[in-house]
Amino acid sequence: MLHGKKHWLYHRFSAILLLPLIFWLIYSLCLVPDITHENMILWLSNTTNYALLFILIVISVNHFQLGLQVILEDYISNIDSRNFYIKLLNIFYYVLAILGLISISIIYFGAII
Amino acid sequence: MAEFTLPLNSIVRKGKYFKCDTADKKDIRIFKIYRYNPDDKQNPTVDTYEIDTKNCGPMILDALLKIKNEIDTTITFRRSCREGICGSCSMNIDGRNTLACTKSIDEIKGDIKIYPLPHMPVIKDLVTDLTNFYKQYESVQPWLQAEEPEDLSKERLQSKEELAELDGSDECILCACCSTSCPSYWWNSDKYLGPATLMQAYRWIADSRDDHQKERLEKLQDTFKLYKCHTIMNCTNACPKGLNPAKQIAKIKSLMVSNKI
Repeated sequence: MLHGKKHWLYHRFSAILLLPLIFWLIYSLCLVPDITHENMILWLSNTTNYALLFILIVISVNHFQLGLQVILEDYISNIDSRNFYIKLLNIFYYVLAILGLISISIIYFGAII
Repeated sequence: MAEFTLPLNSIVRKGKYFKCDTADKKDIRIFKIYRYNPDDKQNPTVDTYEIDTKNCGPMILDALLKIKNEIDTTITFRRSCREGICGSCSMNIDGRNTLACTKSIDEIKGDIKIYPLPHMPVIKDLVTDLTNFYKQYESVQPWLQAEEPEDLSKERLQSKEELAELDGSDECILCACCSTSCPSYWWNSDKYLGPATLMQAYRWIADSRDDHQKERLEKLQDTFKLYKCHTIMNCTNACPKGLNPAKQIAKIKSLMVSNKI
């Protein structure tokens, strides 16, 4: 569990980093002529798109975890329950990140091969 | 888990009605005031008082004193200086935390609703228990901590710029309007210090004569004490002295980073 200042700083840095990445994602997807399965695989086979999406997933899931932890700390007053739910959240966060990264990697490397 | 059900005595019932027959209708203002006496073991009520504003001072505190002196002597509230410098008469008036002595009756349209400071244990009527609030204030050690100077005959001087650094925080009167308007303080008032205490903490951190800035900052390095401020800014909105506690809290956060605490 991150301590006060680190948590606060990471939350803000991840929010700042997410801003350009979200704009890039929207802009980049708007450039795809037709959102079909084939076009999306083609879009993801581009190394820049894959790399940026990889970073976006890592940062957004981290930002989501930090934000939810604050909500749990605010609303759960029992310390044991709070720690339990925060641990559960951390597991969920890792599963979510790994699932996302494996999924896009399978598409990227599959498309390249 | 979070408590989603409220205790039974949180239900506020309709109370007594005190009519005023001696005044013109146009001069009458209606005051709806929260009443609670723990000795009665009854639910709180909202009593209604008709006040003749022609024969009453201009401020809310004047009306409360009129009620206490002439209509209902059982009503309980704190007051002292009646000029916005002691912070005793802080209460929730017309949905906002403020001081009864500096809030004018004419500023409020319609019925005037007066409640105790929100989310605080009520001792009686408009008097809340501020024990935790003062304990938190004590925890930031609000006194000068400096090494003994070599020459005791000399004063500890401050430049105008150093003194200006304390502007906006040393005017705080500890009325608790800001802390009790902060949702984060409502949720975690046992662990989060709240805007008033943090502003006082900054007042000593920023004091050029104090030698314990680092130790003071280290004491705030915790998940709750400082970082439960989510920049909601209710504190700034509520302060009856026009101060900006949120800004002073942001300055502490900034010092935490620049001092590598």
